Amino acid sequence: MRRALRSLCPVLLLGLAFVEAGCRSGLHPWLPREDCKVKIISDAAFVRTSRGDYVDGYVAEYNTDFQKERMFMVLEITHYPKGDRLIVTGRFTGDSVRMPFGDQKQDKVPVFLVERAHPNIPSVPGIPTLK
Amino acid sequence: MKTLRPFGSPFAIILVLSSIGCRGGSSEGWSSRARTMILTSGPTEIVMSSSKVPGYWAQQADSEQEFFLYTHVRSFKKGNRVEVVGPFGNAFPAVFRDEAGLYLRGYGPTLVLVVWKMERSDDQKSEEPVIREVTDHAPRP
Repeated sequence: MRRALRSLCPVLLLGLAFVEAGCRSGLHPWLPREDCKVKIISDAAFVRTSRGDYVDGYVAEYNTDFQKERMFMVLEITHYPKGDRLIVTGRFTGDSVRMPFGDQKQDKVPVFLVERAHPNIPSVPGIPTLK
Repeated sequence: MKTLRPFGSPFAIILVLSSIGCRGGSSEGWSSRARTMILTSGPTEIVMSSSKVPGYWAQQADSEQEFFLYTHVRSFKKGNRVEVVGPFGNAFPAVFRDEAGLYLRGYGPTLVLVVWKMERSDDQKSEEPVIREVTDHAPRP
C-alpha cells in the first residue's frame, strides 16, 4: 500500500502542477482565426478592456449577415488613418471595451486581435469589351 | 525529500537541454564584425513585447538578408550604404511596412541587430561622422 502511494505521489504532484499552471495562465478558449473586411471609423485610441488590459487600436465597422457591426481592432503599431478600408486577419478575444457613441451611450464593443492587416483595394471588375 | 528524488535526473536533463538550446543559436549572432548594409527604409519602428523599438530596415549587401537595425539615430536615409557593428538575434516583433501599408504581428522571425556602431560606407562617408550608440540597448516604451 505504502509502495503504491509512493509511486503515485510524483504523478499526483505533476498533475497538481499542471492544474495550477492552467488556472494561473491568462489563456482563454481557443478561437479560430478569421478574415474580416473592415473600415476604420475612429482615430487611434489607447483603451482599457473589461479584463483590465491596456491596448492600442481603432474602432472599425464590418458587415456580418448583412448587418453592420463594430469591433475594437487591436494593433501594436497604429499607422492607419480614419476611413481606411482594410482586410484584417485575427481573432476575437472574448474581451470587450466600452466606447461612447453618438448620444454618449456607452456601447460594449468586442475586441479583435489583429495579426495581419493590409489595405483593401478592390480590383477593377473585368468587363468584356463590346464586339 | 525522497519524493523529489525521481524528479532529479529528468530535471537535470531538461536544464542541460534548455541550456544547449539557448546557446545553440547561430554563433554569428554574437559576433561583432562590421557588416555592410543598404537601408531599405527611413527611420521607422517595430514593436517587441509592447515596447517600441526605433531603427531602420536594411539588407545585407552580400547576402541580401533582411535585418532591422535597432538605433536611436535618425540621421540616415533610405538607400544609404552603411557599415554596422553589433550583435543580432531572431525576434517576433509587430511590424508595419510603410510602402505596402501592411501590418504583421508575430509573423515569422525577424533578425534584429542592436547597433553599436554605424557609419556611411559610400562616397559621402567623409562628410558624416561615425555614430556610436552609447545609450543602454533596452527597448523603450
